[in-house]
Amino acid sequence: MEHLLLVRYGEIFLKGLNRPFFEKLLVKRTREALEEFSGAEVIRGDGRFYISGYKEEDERAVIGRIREVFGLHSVCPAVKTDKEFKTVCEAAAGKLRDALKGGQSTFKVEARRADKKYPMDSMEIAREAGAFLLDNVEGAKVDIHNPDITVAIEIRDAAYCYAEVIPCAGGMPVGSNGRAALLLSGGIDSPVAGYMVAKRGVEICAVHFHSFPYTGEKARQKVIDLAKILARSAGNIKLHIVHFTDIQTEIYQKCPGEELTIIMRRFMMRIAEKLARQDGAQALVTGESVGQVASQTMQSLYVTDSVVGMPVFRPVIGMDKIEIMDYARKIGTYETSILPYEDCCTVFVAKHPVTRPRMANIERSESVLDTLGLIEASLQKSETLLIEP
Amino acid sequence: MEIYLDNAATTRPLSELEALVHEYMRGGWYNPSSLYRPAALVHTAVNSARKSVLEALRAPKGELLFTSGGTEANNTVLAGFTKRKRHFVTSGIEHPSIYEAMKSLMREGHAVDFIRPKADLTIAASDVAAAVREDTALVSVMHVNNETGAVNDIAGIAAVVKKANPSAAFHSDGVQAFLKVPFSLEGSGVDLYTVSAHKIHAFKGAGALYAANRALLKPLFLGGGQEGGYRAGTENTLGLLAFRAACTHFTEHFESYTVKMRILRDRLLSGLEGLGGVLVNAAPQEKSAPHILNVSFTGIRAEVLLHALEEEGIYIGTGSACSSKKGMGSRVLKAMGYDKERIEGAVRLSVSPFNTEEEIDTALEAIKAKYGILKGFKRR
Repeated sequence: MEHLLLVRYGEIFLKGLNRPFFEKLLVKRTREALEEFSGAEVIRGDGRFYISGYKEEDERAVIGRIREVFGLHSVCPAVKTDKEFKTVCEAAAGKLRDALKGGQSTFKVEARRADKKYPMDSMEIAREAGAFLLDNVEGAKVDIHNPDITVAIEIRDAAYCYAEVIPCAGGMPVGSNGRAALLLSGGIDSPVAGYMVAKRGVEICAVHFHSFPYTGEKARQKVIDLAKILARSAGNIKLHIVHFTDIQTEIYQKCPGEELTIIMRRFMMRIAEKLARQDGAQALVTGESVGQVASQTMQSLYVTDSVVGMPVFRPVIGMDKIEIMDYARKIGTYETSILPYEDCCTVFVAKHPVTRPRMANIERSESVLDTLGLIEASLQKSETLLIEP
Repeated sequence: MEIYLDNAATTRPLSELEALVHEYMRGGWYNPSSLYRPAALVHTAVNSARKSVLEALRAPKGELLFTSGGTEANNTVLAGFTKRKRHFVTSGIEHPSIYEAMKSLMREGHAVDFIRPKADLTIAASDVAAAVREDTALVSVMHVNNETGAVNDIAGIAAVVKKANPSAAFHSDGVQAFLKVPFSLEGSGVDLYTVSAHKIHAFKGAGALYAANRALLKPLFLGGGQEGGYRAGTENTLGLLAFRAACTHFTEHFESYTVKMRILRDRLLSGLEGLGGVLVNAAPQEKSAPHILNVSFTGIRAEVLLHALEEEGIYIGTGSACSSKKGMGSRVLKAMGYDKERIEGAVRLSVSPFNTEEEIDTALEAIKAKYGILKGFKRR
């Protein structure tokens, strides 16, 4: 009898001829995620993976890590035995006893027989194993229609039993859908946006705009911490920390106060695009949501998008702040995002920013700036870090 | 080059402590409660540290409990008075280790009065006396305020408290005052007094609470009976030996060091006073500690100036965490009734006897230059 994890994958199951490519990539991502657990092995099965070889006391931690891997659908802590029916029934009894510790009482057995040479069919296996469990597991009652616990028995190359199906993150394996550059601010929204895009298999690089001395080392560290959390699911993240102060002061001195933010946003987009192209990314991702602040009205988004020549994706565009906050809590970025170090560049936020900027006006205001020169100088002072989970 | 002007936050350990650390590594690490000779030597050393701190406090007979620092000492004080529902008096400008603990007492159903500071940033004895009631268990007023450096006349306050209610105990948080302002516990009427080691160039993790008698105390931690049963836990022996060394050093140099700090602080003050837009948040000379200077740079946020100076290797403090957006800002300056601009722009400069006049001049130049640039970028 051997303890292992039975892992199912989601959407890539639907792929046709490309399926081996996706499967191979998903195995690679799963192996990377399990590097911290010595001995853990990932074995490709038929439409599923098996994870074994980890230390038994690590099982919950391994499951926790597996749940963060994009592309996996669910994980079941299972036991693998030989196919001798008595052995299978005893293994199932063990699983049921464990499950009953949660205070539940009713169960049913579901059986699947992939090995068609097995002497019993799936109906018989379920019936006989159910009877065995009822006789041998104290406190267990049968309920076929609405059981607390479903004990699964699968007869394949060997027999597998499990009683718990734990959902995983879903999505697609990272690296299966190209690369995008995320504008990562340190707030609540952008990490969520990055997570959502990475979940669809997109590799993420990140761009952060740092305004020393208006924001300090702790604000910078906070962004690194957020990238680290994202990296647990999204894989290693190349993080560009752009020195943005000189651009802000230049805009402040030369452009109308109420247009500061929108012009600043346009610079951020230009710089992000430049870095995205350097990194081989095909799109930008931001955490904007329509109407949340002045720079996120439809007119403002139109004016900021006009400076870039690649798609800009905003996965949280239609979400309310509360929904985004809930999502952030779920993916574990919320507590870091709300640390109070970010609001320190408020000097460069107008008290009454334009909410319906007109393209012609903004372009006229911007025309006094040496756009290319400013961007070049700012990139000269920037740094790039590789963030690992 | 590094100029450290945040000595109210913590201080650089005395260089003589390096030898002490080596000694500790070689043969000073035994548990003072053990019975063999090397351990007994450590035990003796801990007791000599106790003697040194009591001497530095010029304390009459009484107890000295070693703690992990000022916060623990302050919390220990309050723990001694919570058996029955009682009344407490404190000030609105206390360090969080008293202020937050007092607020927690309020939530538990005790009555607490918070005395506001006067225009000169100090707490008036008469205001405290007026708040004392028949059921007042404890009055706690800090000696030197950690943000503004204002010195409270704690002996004067203790006297009026005792007069209003002889059974009320008086505590003072002396963390910023200890070996910085002239003071003698003897004859002061102060029953309980808190000090900390890392503010006087020793290590973090060591502090002490003086108590005139044991009846005032109740242990926060129970365990192996260390510190006469009032503070269980194996002693931080290295921290205590460093504390002893620093006490001896600063007692010996008290006169010259306080004069030196005063000169440095006043040099900063006169360099900044003439500067347009600068408001000084300090008590008058005779009521201010020699090492702390609080000033507001109006029109900018303190944190921005802090980071701008950081770029030049000059480290200063803001006295409170940033986040004016969330309406936080300094509670102490708020208690003074200052406006938002003055609170947002407030920085704390704090010197040690080991700063030099050249450092002060360099810092002043940098502050003037940075402020000149930064105040051009006002929110609009």
